[in-house]
This record gives sequence, structure tokens and C-alpha cells, in this order.
Amino acid sequence: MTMPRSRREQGSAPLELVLGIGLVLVPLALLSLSFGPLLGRMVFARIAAAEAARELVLSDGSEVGVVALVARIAANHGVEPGEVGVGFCDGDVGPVTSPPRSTCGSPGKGKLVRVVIVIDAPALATPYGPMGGITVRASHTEMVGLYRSTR
Amino acid sequence: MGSFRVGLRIRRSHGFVTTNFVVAVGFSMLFFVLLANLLVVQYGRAVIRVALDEGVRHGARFGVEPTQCEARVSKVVDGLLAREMRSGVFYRCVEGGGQSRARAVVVFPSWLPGVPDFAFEMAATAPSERK
Repeated sequence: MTMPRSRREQGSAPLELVLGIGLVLVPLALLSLSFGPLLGRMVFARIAAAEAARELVLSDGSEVGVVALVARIAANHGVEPGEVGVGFCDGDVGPVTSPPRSTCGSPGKGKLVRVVIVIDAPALATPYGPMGGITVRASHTEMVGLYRSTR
Repeated sequence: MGSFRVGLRIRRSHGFVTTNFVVAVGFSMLFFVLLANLLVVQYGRAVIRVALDEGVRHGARFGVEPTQCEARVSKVVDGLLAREMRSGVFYRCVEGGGQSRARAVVVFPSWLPGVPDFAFEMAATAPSERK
């Protein structure tokens, strides 16, 4: 028994080339190129959260100083400070270009302080600019030293 | 009874490697080398980022001189980059304002003639321990 054969099984090379490039190669390339900025922002958020929490426990609990540090770290990573948000101890998150919207209060010995960094990353990086956005969030918790000399 | 006829066919024994094929493969190889170069540069950028972060963290300890930060950066860079790549890495640590800072100026050589070298700057900051 033989299978029925369709009359025309030839493809169209120009059509397949256009479809292959437009529907497969270009989207794949854009997706690949979008991973870099996204991972870069994730690394920045993680580092900034860790350093900010550390600054908060090393200083006398000055959120203003922490915000300034986060702005500097953002500049180190080539991120516009206006795109970065900082929140303290589960409080509101505000941009680093304005005064902090939340506080951890007095840094008592043994107290846990938590800093949250929020930043938007482009969902798709295209040659004509970013499309869409993914919110990247990182947090870090540090304990104020039990044997610190101040307070 | 049939007879077999065996003979060498030498007239139509053209090779597969044509000029077009050689040129296409050559350009493909150049493109491949360029891609590999980009990947290695990305790896190098990550190494510099890690080295600077390690350095400032090390230099942020109480009573530590900036030279120890630089020594730490050097240790990380030496461990993760080959000699040719690390020859274009210049870095410096400074301490001040309650922060430990490091800055690197980097030039990674391009593997292809005509393609410019990959130059960039990077910095890291960490809060220093205080009395």
C-alpha cells in the first residue's frame, strides 16, 4: 500500500528565507541581546542592596547617606540614578534622587535592617530602544553589630 | 551470462571546494572569531567587575591601606585573566569619605585587524568600617 502523495512538495526558498529570518532569527537575536542588560541590572540591584544595608549598619542609621551611596553605585554601573528606587525595612520605596520615603529607625544593637533596591530593566532591547519592562528587585538584610561602641 | 565492466572515471571528478565555498567559509570563520572575541570581552568585563567589588570590600575593613585593596584586585585579575588580557587592565583604589573606591581603565585587544580594541572604565564603591 502506498501513501497518497501531494502534488507539490517543493518549497519556496525566498519565502522561507524571509519567514526564517523574520520569525526565528531576529526574535532569537533580540532575546539574546536582552539578557545582558537584564543580568547587568540584576547584578547592580544585588550589589547595591548589600552595600546599602552594610552602610546602614556601619553608619548611625542615616538613610540619606545610604541613598547617596546607592546613587554612586548606580553611576558606577552606568545606571541613571533616577531609575533606581530604595526602600528601608519593608517601608515605601522611593527614588534615590529624592529624600528617603521610609526608615529603619534607630540602629539599636542586634537590630536587623533590610534594604530593598528596585529598578526597571528593559524586557526587550531593540536597536530602536527598549520595549516593555521588567521590574528587578533585590533585598539584603544586615544585623547591627552587637558590640558596637555607639548607641 | 552478463559481463562486468570496471573502470576508473577520471573525467568528471571535480572537487567540491570551489572558490565561492572557500570565500564563504573564510567569512564565516571571521564572523566566528568576532563572536568569540565578544564573548571573551564580556567575560573580561565580568572579571573586572568582580575584582573591583572584591577589592573595595577588602579595602573597606577598618585600618586597611588602599594598597591592600589594589593587591586584592590584582590577585583576582591575575587568577582569572591571562597575561595578554590583563596587560591592558589599570586600576587604582582610594579611601576617603567613609568609602573605599576603586576605578579601573581597561583596554582588551581586538583579535581581528580593523576592529578597534575594546576600551571601557569601571568603578566600585563600598562603605568603610568606622571606629
